[in-house]
Amino acid sequence: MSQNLEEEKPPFFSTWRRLYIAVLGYLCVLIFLFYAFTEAFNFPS
Amino acid sequence: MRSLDWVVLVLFLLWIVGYGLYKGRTRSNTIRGYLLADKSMPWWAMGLSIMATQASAITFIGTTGQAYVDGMRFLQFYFGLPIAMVIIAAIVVPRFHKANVVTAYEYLEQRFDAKTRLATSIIFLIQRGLGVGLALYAPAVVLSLILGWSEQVTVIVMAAVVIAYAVPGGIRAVTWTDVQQMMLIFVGLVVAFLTAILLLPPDVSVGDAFYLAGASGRLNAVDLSFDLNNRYNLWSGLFGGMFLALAYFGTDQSQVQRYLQGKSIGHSRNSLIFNACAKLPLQFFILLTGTMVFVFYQFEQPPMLFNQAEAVKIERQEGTPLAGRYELAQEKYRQAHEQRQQVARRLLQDRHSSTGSPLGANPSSGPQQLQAANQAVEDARQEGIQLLREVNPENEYNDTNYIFLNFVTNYFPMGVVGLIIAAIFAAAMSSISSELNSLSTTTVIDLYRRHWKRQAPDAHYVRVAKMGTAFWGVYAAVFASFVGGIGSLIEAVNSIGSLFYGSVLGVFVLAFGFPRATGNGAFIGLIVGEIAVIATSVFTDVSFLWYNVIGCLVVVGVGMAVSAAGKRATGR
Repeated sequence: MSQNLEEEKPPFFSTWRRLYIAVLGYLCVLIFLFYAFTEAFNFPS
Repeated sequence: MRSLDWVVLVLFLLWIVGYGLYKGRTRSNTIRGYLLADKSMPWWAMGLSIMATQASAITFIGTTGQAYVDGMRFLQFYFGLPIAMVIIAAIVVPRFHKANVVTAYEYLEQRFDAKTRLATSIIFLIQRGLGVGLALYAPAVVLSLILGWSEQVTVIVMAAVVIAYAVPGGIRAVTWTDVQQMMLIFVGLVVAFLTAILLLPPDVSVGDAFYLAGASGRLNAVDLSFDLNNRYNLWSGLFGGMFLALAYFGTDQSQVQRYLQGKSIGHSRNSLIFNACAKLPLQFFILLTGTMVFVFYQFEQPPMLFNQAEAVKIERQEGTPLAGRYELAQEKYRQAHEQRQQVARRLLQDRHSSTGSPLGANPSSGPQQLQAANQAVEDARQEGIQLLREVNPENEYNDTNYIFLNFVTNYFPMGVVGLIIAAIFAAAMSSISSELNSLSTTTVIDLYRRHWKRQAPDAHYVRVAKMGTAFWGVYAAVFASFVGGIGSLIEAVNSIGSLFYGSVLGVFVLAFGFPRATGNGAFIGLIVGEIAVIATSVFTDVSFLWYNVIGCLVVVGVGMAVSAAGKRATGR
């Protein structure tokens, strides 16, 4: 059984660091969209 | 369930067992083949398996019910997950791969000592043993309600189906069936959401449904306020949720084993990144489905008690004063619902007649009236629940997990009910099979092979691993038979997890991030951290999501202090 322990490139972006930053950016965008969604349907109680 | 629903469900169960046995067949009889698929899995299969393992039947029936009762704020629980995935992909995955371990706890012996490995693996067995019982109990609630079986019989059937493919096929069978099951969960969710939309009255548009859900306070996906006692807000989700996800995906063998099947570090990383990107949208969609169920019941009277088995207990008291009071409560509930429906319709009329303002002609009073009407319905419902408590004082009634099922079985067309039930089964079996697989792995690798029989042929360990899987399956069935009445299952599972997760995470943080930490430091830190978490849960009102943070920080602090003191004492 051979196991490839080489640091291969990620499927998108050229380095893992860039991919991680993209994922964290994606999270920020999602939270902003969810917040906008909440505010769009928020009514005074 | 009608005949076509039965056909769909039975065909699905047969397909899963057959497919699991087919994919699990192999000529290799090595323990790494049985437990790690010889590290040959593609990243997308591991990614779907990771999602399927986390998405239990509780996710389906509990989360939709929670959205109905409490709105979408539970979404924030998952905000820390993508951050945790990035940290695990960057730091944990390369170390596990390079250490060539089968279990996460095996790594701790390489880094610290045997007692730390033993302690963490036993904690995992206790914690996951409780979790698998709950994961089995949830679908038992489904079947016992729909098929009229007892919960015990349902549990036995469920456990038997999972054992049928997980024992002979090992992790190959578990992972490939997870892929199929996750696909069915996606299909089931889309079908449930679309059917809920289609069942709305013809004059109520999707926009109207969102408007009513928002006016009822159900689209509360993000809460920016900071409050340690508030279970779900942005901060508890980001920090508490991140620590919980770090502990679950980084140290819990039921997840670690999923991505250790990867042929390379890159494949394992990709599977985690896939989960990071897909999890939040999936949870949003599940919660949104629950809110659409809530909107549907604005126009159709929901049952006062969603758990029909409990409602029957009062209805059986015919002729007694209690039955009379129950009828009065039901009438009050009916009137409250009628009034709420009128308010909702009036609100929509205002919305349609207004121009320019998305909030309607009178934006301030309409939603307030609807919220008051919702409260009146809930108050009337609580009267019914109070009467139920008089019949059965020992039963803490909570019907959150029955809401979605009640909706599906009473309103969905023939065939679609079977599909949704099959999806719930898929969600349950995908979690249970992975959990049994990992429980057996830890039992064999961390206990049996490490402490009982260190030198034996692989075929022997494979045989023991198969027996271990079967044993944990039987144990889960016995546990699930006695677990009923734990309140909302989803919170019970997460609460139990949080009692242990933080401390174990602290040990791994010491292992990965503090080269000066010693085995004694990690072990004593683990014990003190566990005491701190239990004391926090018993003596304070701090929300359970923060237990992970507290446990982890205490273990790291105490672990480093003990390590430093030990080195000073030995003069090193």
